[in-house]
Amino acid sequence: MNRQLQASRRQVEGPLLEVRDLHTHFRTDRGLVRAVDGVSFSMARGASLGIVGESGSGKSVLSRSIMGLLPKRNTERSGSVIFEGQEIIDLSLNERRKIWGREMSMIFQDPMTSLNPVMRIGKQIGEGLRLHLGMSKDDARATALKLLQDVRIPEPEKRLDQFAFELSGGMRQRVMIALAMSCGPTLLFADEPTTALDVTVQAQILEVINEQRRDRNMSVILVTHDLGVVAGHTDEIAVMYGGKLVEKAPTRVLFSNMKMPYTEALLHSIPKIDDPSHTRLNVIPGRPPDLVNPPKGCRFSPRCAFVQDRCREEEPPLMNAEHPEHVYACWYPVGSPVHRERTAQLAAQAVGAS
Amino acid sequence: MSYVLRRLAQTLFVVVAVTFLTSIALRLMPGGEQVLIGLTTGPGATPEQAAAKVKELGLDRPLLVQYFSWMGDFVTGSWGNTWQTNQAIATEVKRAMPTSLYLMVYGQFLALLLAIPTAVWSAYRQNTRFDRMASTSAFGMLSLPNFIVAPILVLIFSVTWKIFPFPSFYRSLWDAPVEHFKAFALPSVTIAIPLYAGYMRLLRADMIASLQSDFITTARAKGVSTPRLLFVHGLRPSLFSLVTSAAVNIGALMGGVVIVEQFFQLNGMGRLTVESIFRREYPTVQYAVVILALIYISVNFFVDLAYAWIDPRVRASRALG
Amino acid sequence: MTDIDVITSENAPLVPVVATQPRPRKLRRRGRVAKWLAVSWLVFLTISAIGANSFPYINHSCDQFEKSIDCSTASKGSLVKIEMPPVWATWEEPGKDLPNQAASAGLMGTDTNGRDIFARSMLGARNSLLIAGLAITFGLAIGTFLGMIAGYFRGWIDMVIENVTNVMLAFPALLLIIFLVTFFNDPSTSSAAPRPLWPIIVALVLLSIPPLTRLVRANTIAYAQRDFVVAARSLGAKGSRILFREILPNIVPTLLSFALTGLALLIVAEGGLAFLGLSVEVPVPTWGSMIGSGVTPLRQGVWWISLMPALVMFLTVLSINLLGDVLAQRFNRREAIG
Repeated sequence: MNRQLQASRRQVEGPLLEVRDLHTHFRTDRGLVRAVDGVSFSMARGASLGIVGESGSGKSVLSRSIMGLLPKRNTERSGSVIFEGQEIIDLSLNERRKIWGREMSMIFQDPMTSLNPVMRIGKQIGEGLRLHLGMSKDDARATALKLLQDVRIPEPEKRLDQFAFELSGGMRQRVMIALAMSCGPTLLFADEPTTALDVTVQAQILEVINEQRRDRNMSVILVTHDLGVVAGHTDEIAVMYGGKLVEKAPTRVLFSNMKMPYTEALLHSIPKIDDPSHTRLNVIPGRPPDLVNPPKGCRFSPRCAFVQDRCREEEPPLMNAEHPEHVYACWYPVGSPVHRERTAQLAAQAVGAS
Repeated sequence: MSYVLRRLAQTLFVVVAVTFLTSIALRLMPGGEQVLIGLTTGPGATPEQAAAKVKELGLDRPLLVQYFSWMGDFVTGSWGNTWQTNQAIATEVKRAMPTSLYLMVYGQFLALLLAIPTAVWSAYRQNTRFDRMASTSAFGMLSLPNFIVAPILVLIFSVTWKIFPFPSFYRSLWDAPVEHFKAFALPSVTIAIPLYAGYMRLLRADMIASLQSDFITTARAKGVSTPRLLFVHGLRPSLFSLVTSAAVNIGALMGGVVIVEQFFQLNGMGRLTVESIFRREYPTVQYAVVILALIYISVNFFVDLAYAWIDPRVRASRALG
Repeated sequence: MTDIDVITSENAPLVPVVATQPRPRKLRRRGRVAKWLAVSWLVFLTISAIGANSFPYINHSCDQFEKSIDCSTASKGSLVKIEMPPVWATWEEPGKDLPNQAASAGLMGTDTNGRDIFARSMLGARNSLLIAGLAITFGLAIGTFLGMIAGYFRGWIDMVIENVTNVMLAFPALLLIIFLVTFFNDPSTSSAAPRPLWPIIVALVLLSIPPLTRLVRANTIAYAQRDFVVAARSLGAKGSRILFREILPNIVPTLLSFALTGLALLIVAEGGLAFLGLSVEVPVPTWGSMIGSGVTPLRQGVWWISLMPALVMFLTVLSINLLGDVLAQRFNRREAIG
């Protein structure tokens, strides 16, 4: 399998990753949880994609599902995941193991608990190197040192022999990045890499990830709930809601010409620093949808301020917008007559109320 | 370092207290002197003979003096002879120790050998048939005390299928290895069964908790193989309770398997102690108790140190005081 | 159950190694059956133990004796036929030198003195349960008290109690038991009367105090740091009031399940001591001594004298352990949510 993958690496044409109609369902006491319900997209080499959504949108499950990192029992996956021209959705555990770390790797959310507490840092980084690349102990150590330098961790030689609890959160996340980079993967998943970190450290970590991406021509999928994180650090953004992909566009296009009311609401809910004090926060009313019994029609309809009857009946498919790389799923997107009318209505109400 | 010193001081205190209480207990047991005299000089001893015997054995001195004299003898190694059979106490102990050691080692070895893989696999495949069978059988084994297991084993293996001898005749490992293992087979299994049950349940519970940690997911995502994941990444942070329990059992097994020793008629430390108590052999009991207490305490001590080696976080917090 | 309770991407069992989703229906049914079996066995045993002398079903095949009580406690001088349990008798081939039974053999056969083993087992239950039950109760009371004051007040009380506990743990258990049993049973007095129960109870109490103290101390320390205790103290509550009103109710669940496990352990401990001859004497039966007296016949293939009481004891200890386990699980779950 590895040899096949390496052969197709020389195939520079074509997207790095193609996901077609991916479904991931969990069998639970309450019923079948449709965490990912028909997601399709493709991604080019060296690109960076941000996947944005609230809790319960299915974004973390999506990244793990693509990688194949979910438990076998009570999990149903269907669809197709094509990585570098090879179908990987039906690989056995051993075959998947060969890919993990080597071709694709993941950085996790909580650096406090994601590192082995009783193993030294150098050894943890070196583990993948020795396993996948067959390095000797000394080579692995030297490479681990270089990786730590790449992620700009202070005093890298010292860190090699330290334990996880001796490092701060930001340093631990850098170690995680170094670990994920170690075997030179072509695709990196970053699952909420900054959520557990201080704001000041967040920017640094994102910078490190981006630097690595450019240096290694690696693709990055950045999963987060924070639009601010994706704004500066991704080429493309995909918005997920209720297990479905509802909008996808290049970053600048998304922010300047968003179509989904949900995306608009997300953006509006970010508090702005120059708002006057005591400004009311714009929240999206309601709760994320029940993934066992999702609503008929558009999944966002129960909470959408612009909902019409058609939204509740028919589920909108992904449609193309003006820009060729922009798709969205909405009957009455931003800019449509219905939407403009309603916006005016709401604005009038707001003025009347204040 | 101060931590180590503190622990040593505690150790010393406990040893002294235990041995002192032992001598008090021995003296307070009724009929001690009469039994002793009756056994040494025969029935119908005259009061003068009795008094002479008492003086000879030094039993007329105040308790504290006796205590220190015995302890002094223990430390210097001049243990003297048993009062009734006039055997060197040191010889008796030297005969009993290996038996107890063999029992303890074989029992622990069997128990751990079976418990660790079973627990790891049960935790990995939680709630599968294997796990349920393993957990249920371990639970059942916990309710089987050794005096029930031993007769059953004997019935099956000694009476019906005459594989192992009963009672066990002790043979040295060096002289007759086959007989040695045959003699120790059933007793070791008897001891190992409840040990196995306890260890397996402990380790399984801890492993289940560890396997749900994030760092296991990280290791998985690195492409680590399943055996390595379970035994290198998962096992080490889960060993605490198991190590503690095994350590406590070392001390307990050395002195406490009297039932097994009695049943299979192996002359171990437990049996030696009990018989000496009944025969009011004060020095023997004292020395046996000291040895067993020392073993128990030093094992605890080393386990404490071992914690620091197993889990570096403990090392750090201790260094901070 | 709100929508948020649905397994979201954050809470999904994303550990690829362990699938932690339970198999709800099948397991629950099996667990429930076991629990009720355990309870019914224990109820049956307790009733039999209390009424061992008079219940009709216990005095089966006692026609060779005059009074029903003789059936289980007396020993006639001459050896009466040893009888096997009826079930096995049909499997034995004729011609073996094991005595074959008449239809009047008891459910579990008889021992070398012709006494009905089933009846004796039920009487033995009385003693074993009584001894272990009293011992665990007193041990619980004392251990809880010591553990709570050590864990709450800390300081020198804690140090004293901890060292005393250490000494008690390092002290050879057998020595203590033998000492207590012989101390209160002067061999010079007549051995016709059965030994009293309470020396062994005292011994078992002393043995169960150290682990209980440790457990209670650890739990007390954990709870004493919680905010509701600090709140109570800030309102002026005294130490003893806090201990009894705030901390004790929280410890009780853990204690209950530990008490059950401890009860099982003490039954086993008493059995072991009886096996060695250190508990109460014949003719009062206890399980341990019955098992012990059956070892010699065992070597000739007469197995039921030893193994029938063993079976009864095993079922009892297993039932108690099971209930203790069930209790522990139920209280653990509550603690996790609250």
